[in-house]
Amino acid sequence: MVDHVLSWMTFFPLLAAAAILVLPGRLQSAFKWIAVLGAAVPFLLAFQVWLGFDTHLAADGRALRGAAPTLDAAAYGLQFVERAVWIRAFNIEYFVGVDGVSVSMVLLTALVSLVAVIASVRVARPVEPHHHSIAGIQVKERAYYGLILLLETGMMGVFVALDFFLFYVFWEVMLLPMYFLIGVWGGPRKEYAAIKFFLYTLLGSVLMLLAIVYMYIYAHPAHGSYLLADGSAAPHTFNMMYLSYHTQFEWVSFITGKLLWVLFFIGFAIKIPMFPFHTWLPDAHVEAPTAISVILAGVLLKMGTYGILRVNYPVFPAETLWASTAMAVFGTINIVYGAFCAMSQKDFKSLVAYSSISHMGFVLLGMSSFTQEGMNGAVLQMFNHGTITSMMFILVGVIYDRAHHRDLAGFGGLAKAMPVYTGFAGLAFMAALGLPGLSGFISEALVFLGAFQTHRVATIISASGVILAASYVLWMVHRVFLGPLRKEEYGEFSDLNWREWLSLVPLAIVVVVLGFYPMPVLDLMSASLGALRDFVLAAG
Amino acid sequence: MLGNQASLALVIPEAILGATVAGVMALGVSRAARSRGVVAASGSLGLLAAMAVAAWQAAGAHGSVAAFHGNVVVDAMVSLFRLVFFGTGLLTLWFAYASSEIDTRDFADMTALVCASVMGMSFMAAASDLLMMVLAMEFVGLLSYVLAGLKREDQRSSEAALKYVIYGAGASGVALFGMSFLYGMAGDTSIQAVREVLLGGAGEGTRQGAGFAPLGLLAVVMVLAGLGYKVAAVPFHMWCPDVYQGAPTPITAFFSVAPKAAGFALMMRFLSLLLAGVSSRLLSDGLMVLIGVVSIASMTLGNLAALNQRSVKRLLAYSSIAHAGYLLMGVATLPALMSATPDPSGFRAVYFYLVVYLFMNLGAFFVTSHVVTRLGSDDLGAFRALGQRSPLVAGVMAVFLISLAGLPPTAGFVGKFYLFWVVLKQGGAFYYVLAFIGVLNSFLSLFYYARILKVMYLEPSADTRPVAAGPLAVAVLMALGVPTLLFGVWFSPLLSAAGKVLG
Amino acid sequence: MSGELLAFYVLAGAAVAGALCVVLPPFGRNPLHAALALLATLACVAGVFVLLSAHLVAVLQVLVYVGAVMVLFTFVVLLLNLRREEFIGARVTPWKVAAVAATAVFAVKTAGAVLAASAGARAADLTAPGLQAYGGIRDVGRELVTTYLFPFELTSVLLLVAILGAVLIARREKGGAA
Repeated sequence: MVDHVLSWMTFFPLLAAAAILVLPGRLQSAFKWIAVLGAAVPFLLAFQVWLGFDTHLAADGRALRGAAPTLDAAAYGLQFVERAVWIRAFNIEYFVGVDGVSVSMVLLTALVSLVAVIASVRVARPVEPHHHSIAGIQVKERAYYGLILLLETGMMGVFVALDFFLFYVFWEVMLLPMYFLIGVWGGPRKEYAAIKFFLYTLLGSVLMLLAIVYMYIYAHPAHGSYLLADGSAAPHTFNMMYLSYHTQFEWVSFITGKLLWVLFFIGFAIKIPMFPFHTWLPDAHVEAPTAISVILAGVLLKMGTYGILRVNYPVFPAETLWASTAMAVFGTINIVYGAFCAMSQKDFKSLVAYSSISHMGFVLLGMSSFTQEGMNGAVLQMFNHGTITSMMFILVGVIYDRAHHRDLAGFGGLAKAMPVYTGFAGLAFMAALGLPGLSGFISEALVFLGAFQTHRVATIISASGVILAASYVLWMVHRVFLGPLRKEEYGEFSDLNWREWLSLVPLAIVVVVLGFYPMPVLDLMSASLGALRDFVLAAG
Repeated sequence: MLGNQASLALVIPEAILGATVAGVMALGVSRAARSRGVVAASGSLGLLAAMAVAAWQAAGAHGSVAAFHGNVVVDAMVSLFRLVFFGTGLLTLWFAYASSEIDTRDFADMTALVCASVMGMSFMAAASDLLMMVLAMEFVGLLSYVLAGLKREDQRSSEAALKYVIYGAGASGVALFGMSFLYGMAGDTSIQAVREVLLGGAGEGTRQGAGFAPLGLLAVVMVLAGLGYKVAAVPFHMWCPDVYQGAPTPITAFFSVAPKAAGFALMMRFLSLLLAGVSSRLLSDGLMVLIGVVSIASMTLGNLAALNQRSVKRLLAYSSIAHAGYLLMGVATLPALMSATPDPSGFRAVYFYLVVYLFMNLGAFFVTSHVVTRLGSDDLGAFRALGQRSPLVAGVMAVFLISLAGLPPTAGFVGKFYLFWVVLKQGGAFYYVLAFIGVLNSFLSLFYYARILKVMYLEPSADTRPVAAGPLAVAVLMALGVPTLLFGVWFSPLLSAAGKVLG
Repeated sequence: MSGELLAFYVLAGAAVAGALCVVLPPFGRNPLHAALALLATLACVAGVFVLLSAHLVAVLQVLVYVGAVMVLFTFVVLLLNLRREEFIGARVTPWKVAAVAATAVFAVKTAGAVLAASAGARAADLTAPGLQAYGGIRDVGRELVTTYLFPFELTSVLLLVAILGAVLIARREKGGAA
């Protein structure tokens, strides 16, 4: 058992990245293995978190509301907590820990990052011919693995940070690696896609920054006083728990809770991405290399919904209730609009990208229901979508490596040439359309069950999303895998190699197991989500 | 208040610089001037000695001392700015040493001028008398005009110098006119005496104090106009892009940091001496709105104009105009200082940001200077594929740009964060709008900083030969880049230093 | 209106009129005429100094500005032999109109502020015993080497480096030609 397990999970990839940066160029062949190690260690540590997590612990929000802030992490339902004063002048702490909402995301991040690194073992090579000079390749491999590990640190940090300042730092740290990973190793329109992703996300986060600073200044403890890690009292705080449960806000001039709620929500909605802020996603996905698409869809999109659950829900419960219908409506738009767009795509990858928009709509819809089933379904959907979409993007990458195009109309009959590949693809896409027995079904069913109680019309409209998903998936399977071989050369495609096996098998196991028995993940979140739901409803 | 003789010990750092100026001038007419190394070494020696003495004095001193019959004040703020100015001077010297844009024949003279200039700046930070203010401003201005026109056989450099002179003369005239009103109000050149008039304590009672408010506002606005020129705030910024582009790059780096910091030092010194505790609605509201509007105009215009620049020097010039706008946000918290319980935290944020700005902006200019020297152009195209051709230089440049854009985990983020914090803390719709526009501008600025990143890393170049960076360049890059990153995650010491300045 | 006040208004009015002539046509279009108008302004300002009993400053004004600086100006103008048509044209542009309007508003505001400030003030009695010699060479000299010694000395450093700068610029011309 490792002490400070969350810090190790967060910063081990950074250490590996530093090692890759300083190693001499002649060890170039070792870089990828260091990167695999850098992602594998957090993955192994994730088991410790999973096994050691006490699923019954949850914050009793209403009791906390009447009490003074404490240093007792268990009272807030937090586990694996590490806490120390970082910058005293601003009462900033290094405060990490997980509760039921974040623990599944931490596990997902560890899993998807490892898969992404394995999937990129061969991909990190220069695209343009004139980069074939020795120096060029070295720099590029070094940079690629360094950035992907830095990205993992940022993602992991976002999910474990419990101090707003720390949260914001990790949130932004993630931005630049992503920008470069898309911009340097991406497809033909990579520059456009990279800058669009960058600017969109940044616009959201600067608005969030203003809201954070405002909260810092105008939040006052409702009872007692805020405490720093060493027990000293602080007049202001960035502590997410204190701001959630022990705070009274002072509203000055036109600033209200609703305004702050909206600022945060826009910042997060851009990441989800929620209609109408979604336009960066298809561009980024289509241009990004396979492993980066995997991380983008598998983990990054979840930061948006995670942020809403972590910030908007507990800090502004009354405003969250105020906006619940709007959230449900936007969720429905995402589901239906994303599905229609997916149906009309000619490019394999943009089809998967639009299906992500549709599936993230389920998360929004489930969250807005404020029922136990709906909220559990939403977070489970976040986890499941992470694994299923990762599989789909890897599968698209596999075929792109062989055929060098992704035109759906150009394929046909691949089932004959690549039976194993077709098997994995069938599994992933059936899971995506919500076939019972695979993980996607359970979370979508929970979302519908929960949302139907609260938002009846929206749920009925959303249900059409499942039918639409079935149609775009089945039509795609028909065009790509069935029928006669479209081209002679497709017959000579080799089936999956060991690297592709290694990256697909863990995800497939998760998808199948959770399809039959979702309790290992559901148990993790249920107590915390129940408490969060009660807390929000109590504000109504 | 100390007399002339008793004050001498307080200006030892400046005296050392004076001696350095004389020494380097003497070197300049000797054979030794043919070697850049000798000149750079002696200049560096003088600046380092001055910095050491300044630091030593700062460590031993507490409180503020009025010296030379109240002409100057020596306090922690002066100590901080001494280090900022002298450090900038030192780095400029090294930039110039490594640059091909400064002719060896001019190098000794340039060294002397830079040393004299930072000496004048440290008096700008210390001036507590109207006469001293004018003198120090003119001192720095005059030397800047010469430095701007340093580039031999370059029409643009001469044009830049001329522009600088003409705009500078106009701005000085306006500031001087304003000061003459202040003098007329008090019959004394001491800023403290003028404050007493505004307070209503002197002259014929409170009625007079109130009656002086409109004239006081007018005079302060005029002085601020003169200082606005020094810090290149809109609408006094017109000279800035031309001068920055025309001057040799190391000098541009110097201009982008030192006179700007000196202008802000003098502005805050002047405002806090003149207005601390002066509770006049007219003055506080008027100045708040005025400085706020100038701040908004500076950052917005600076950022918008930077968007389409091809010349990196020009781009950074507009970015420095925008940064003047961000800094002015902190100055706009002036009413907090004028209240019955003066709160100087707004000014403290400006000090903090200025120190951070020194590292990141000098760094960005140093890389530009390096590129100009090695590749002969400051066009964006020259930066193509720098990520492959010189990974270290490009990597550090990326850190500087990210910091200038205000993204974590760099010092620039902490600085901006501090500024937004003090602005939001003031409360009131005006400050919220100001902070909101500031944040939007931060976002806007990313467009052009990211463009440089994009060119360095994403655009291929026909020429893929590595661009060498010598040991001196690497040392300077590290000296600037490491603090830019370090202060992003560990800024307590810097904060406490900035806190001490007005604490 | 006392004689002193009358003299002040005449001198001040003439100074402003001279300054306007420097930049406005018809004088402003001929460099030599403009220089002469400036001379008139400077002389009038010297007269105002006399009215304020600042005799030393008045004398210095005449010696330095009217004497040395203006001679240099005239010399340069004649040397460069600037013609009328090389000088600025006098077209009326929207910017100029705006500038004039802004100046007018500024002048009115300034006048208002000055009047408000001086409403309760009483003029200093320059004939009072302590002030009689004030502005004379002895008092100015004493101030210069006591209270203002530091700025005074700093000025000498400024002059030194200014000479250095001038040399640098002058040498540049030669270097450029070589």
